[in-house]
Amino acid sequence: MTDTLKKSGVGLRHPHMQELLLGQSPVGFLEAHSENYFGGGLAREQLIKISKMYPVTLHGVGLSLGRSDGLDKNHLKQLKALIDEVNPVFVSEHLTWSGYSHTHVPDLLPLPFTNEALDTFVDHVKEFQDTLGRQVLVENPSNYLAFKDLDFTETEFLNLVAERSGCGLLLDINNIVVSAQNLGYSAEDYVDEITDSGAVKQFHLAGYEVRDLEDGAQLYLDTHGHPVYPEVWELYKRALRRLGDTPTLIEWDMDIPALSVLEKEAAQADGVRAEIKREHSHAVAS
Amino acid sequence: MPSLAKLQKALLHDIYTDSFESLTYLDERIPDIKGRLNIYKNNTRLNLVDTLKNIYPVTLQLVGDEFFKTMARHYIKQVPMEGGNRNAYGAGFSAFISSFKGADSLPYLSDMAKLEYAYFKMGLAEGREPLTHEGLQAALEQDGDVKIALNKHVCLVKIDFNVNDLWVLHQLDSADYSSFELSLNPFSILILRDASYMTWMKALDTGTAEFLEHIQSGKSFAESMQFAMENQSNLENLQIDFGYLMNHQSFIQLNGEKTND
Repeated sequence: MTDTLKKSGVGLRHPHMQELLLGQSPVGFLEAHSENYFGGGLAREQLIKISKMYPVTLHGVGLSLGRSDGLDKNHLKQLKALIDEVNPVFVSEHLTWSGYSHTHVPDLLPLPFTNEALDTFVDHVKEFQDTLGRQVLVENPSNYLAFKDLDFTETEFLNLVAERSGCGLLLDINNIVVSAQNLGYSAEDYVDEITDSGAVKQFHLAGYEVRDLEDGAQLYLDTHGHPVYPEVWELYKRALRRLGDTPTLIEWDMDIPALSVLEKEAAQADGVRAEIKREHSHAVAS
Repeated sequence: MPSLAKLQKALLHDIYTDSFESLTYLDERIPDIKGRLNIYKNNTRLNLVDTLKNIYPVTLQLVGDEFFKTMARHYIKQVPMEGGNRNAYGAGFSAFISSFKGADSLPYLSDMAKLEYAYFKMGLAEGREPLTHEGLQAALEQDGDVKIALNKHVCLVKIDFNVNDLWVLHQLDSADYSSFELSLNPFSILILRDASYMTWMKALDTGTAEFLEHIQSGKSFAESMQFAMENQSNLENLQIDFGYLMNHQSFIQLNGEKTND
């Protein structure tokens, strides 16, 4: 595991910038959304300062690795310039797509898990890694719908992406819970199916929102606007037991609370990591 | 399953319109698939409306939340996001407002949006190596036809109404709007981000505006200055403005390349 990320981190959000610039936060690292720092200006300058005080990871939302018509070279160029300047510990993107031709959405859209999509996605991850000269991580998304006539399940697809491109994986535990609820599969099975080859380099934890549907069912929305729920903490423990101690980040994007609230959640993640490590040590000793 | 390209095209079309063509590719065993597709439609609309609100806060205050959202929704349907960076969205909102029927009674609104977009854009611009006083002098000694351009964190905006005064009032915690009188009087506003990342607006005299317009159109420094001097009633103002611009690293030297516009 990356030594610098032994303590859990939090997402870098604008309302906390001044407080974080004092350099006093106990968080292990900060994760910035790459596109928010494209170009120049104050935000970028602040990110550079932050990167000299804390380990930083860069998490992209706009490259659209799953698009069928080739990566946007200009976007890639801007991303590379930012990465070269910030020198993040990890660079990550999503197992999704968000654009085709000159039409994009500010959202992460689901991929059909077909052979064609796999070839496309793997080629794009390779291009991304070759351009940066480093490994990138790919995160599992939260899904509300699925396509029919697929060649793979999501876990099969994700494992094959890692195997064929050499990328790492960012396992978002909250997204697993959200997608499992929405698409009707087992979150536990999902974790158990993820490769234990060492590809998983980071975990994300967050809170979702529950919407009651007319038929009495519930839809989970990945809003990142709540504390981490108990079922996400439980699944996190399962993932730690199976995949080993892994750098972990708390995400919170809506109704952003005081930094101290996020620091507390990160400390709770550290507590869980320590608990699982102890469990593991006892098991080895006995 | 159709090709990936066909599926992506269909889904994007659905998200930006009222259609549901991509339902045919979705797993119908999942309940309420139409409602779930609507989640992506709503996310896109809400995110882009928020993006526009962030770029155009004074325009939003002038028309109120409901009217702004109506304009924004029409704009989003007409102009989808073009790339993966949300901060690059919304450039054409001012032009859209000028032809938006509901905003007929607010002829100054598109000027305000034009001003706000330039202000937002300058805040994020990445400056280039500036031309110094010494550099300019050396270049002029070497080549009388030296060409310069505005650096990326500086721009010139032409407006018809004095919305810059209204914009200033909206930045104050408690403003006295009774002193403000809207007037139709076309002029140019300089928008500039300084070294401490503060962005400023400054109304320009005709001569300085002429000078900047000429260098932007590719005229040499000497030619542009000549035009400016002919149009500036007060040469001292031109000198002050030029000094202000040089002190804020506002120019780059062109070596056969095009301007940043």
